[in-house]
Amino acid sequence: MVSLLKLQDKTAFSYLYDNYSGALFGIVLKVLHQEEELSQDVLQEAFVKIWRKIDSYDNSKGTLFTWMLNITRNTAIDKLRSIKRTSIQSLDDNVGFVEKQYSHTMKEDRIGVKDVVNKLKPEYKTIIDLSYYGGYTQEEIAEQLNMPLGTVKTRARAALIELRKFIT
Amino acid sequence: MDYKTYIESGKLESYVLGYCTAEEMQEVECMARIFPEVKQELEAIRISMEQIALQNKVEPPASLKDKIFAAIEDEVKSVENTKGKIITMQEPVVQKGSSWRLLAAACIALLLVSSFVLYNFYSTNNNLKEEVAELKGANKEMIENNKQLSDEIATASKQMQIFNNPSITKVAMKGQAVSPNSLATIYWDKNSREVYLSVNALPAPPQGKQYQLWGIVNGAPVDLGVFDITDADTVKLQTMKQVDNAAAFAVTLEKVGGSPTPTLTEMYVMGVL
Repeated sequence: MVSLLKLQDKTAFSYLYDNYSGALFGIVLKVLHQEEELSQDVLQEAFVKIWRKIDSYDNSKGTLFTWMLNITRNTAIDKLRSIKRTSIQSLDDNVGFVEKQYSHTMKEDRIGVKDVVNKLKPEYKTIIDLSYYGGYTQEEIAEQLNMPLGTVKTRARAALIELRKFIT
Repeated sequence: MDYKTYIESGKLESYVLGYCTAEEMQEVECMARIFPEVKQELEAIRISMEQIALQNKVEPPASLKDKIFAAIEDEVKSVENTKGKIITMQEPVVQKGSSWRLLAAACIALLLVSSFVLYNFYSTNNNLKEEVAELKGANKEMIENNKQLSDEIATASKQMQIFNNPSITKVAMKGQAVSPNSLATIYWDKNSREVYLSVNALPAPPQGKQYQLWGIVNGAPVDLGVFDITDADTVKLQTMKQVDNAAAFAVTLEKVGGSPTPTLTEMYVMGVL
């Protein structure tokens, strides 16, 4: 599969799209606050990047899925930041935005998936949201939430351990 | 290094999320290689991250696929048009001051130090091997020297016995017409009939020739054996055939293996009792 992709085989790529576009689109939507049209553009941009960069994918460093997730997330986060640069918005607003977004998603329950992240305690969820969908490092999160870095680290780990329980 | 602290550092999450710089990536990979626990944790985080994405799937509209593949088609064409000129995309890298910089440095330093130490071990080992080989060679040489000396002492003491033996008769054989400067000595034990020959000066025999010792017994030459001139420097007694009642000794040059009767024109040395 990966070797076919590296040859930029369109059939393999089509298979890749069919299998992963849902997961990738889900991330883009969350990062971009469910802006449907913008998210579609970003997903397209991400897939073109994946196509272009497939040759640099190194399977010793992680799965293809994670690699694609990261390219897609970064593309979406980049887009979000370029939009934000025009209207200076603080991270605190963004936290509110993300959280609002979540409650919105929950109410809307778009396609009925159980969002494991929503099962987390709010303080864990905020950190997962900011790092997973916001592209923030733990240092940045600590700075912006005015929280000791140690607390962020502890919560991030606890959150992931909680998540693992839900997943299995 | 405490891998537990490292696992809790948040570095691994950043790695899986792709928020690391190339340097930090190298560090995490280094740590994962050293500590299986780090590797295991990395894998667990990766699965969590993938699961979050899978559980939040939203299928994009069906029309988007065609649109995306058309964009890829354009991309292929533009790449072909620019004849392989690849436009590199900028990956957003979220980077912040790393509290693990020290650890990374330590990890890399550890690799450097261990390769240095290994190299040192290797070269020291090589030096030692060379020294051992040299000593072995020297030792072998000494053993050989020792053996040679022992042999020489044995020979010398045997010769001393012969020289000190009162029943020994010494006969000096002087150079004859063909070789006036030649000289050889016979030590003959009349009791035991043993004949020892010492070559003092004889020219090296030509190819195919060998010296032969004769004893003159009752007016007739008796073969006492052929001999070689091995080393002119060492005085060595060669044991020849035994003889009774010899009146004289002589050496002639004969064909290899000796002759039944001496070639008198080729007589090199002769000594009369």
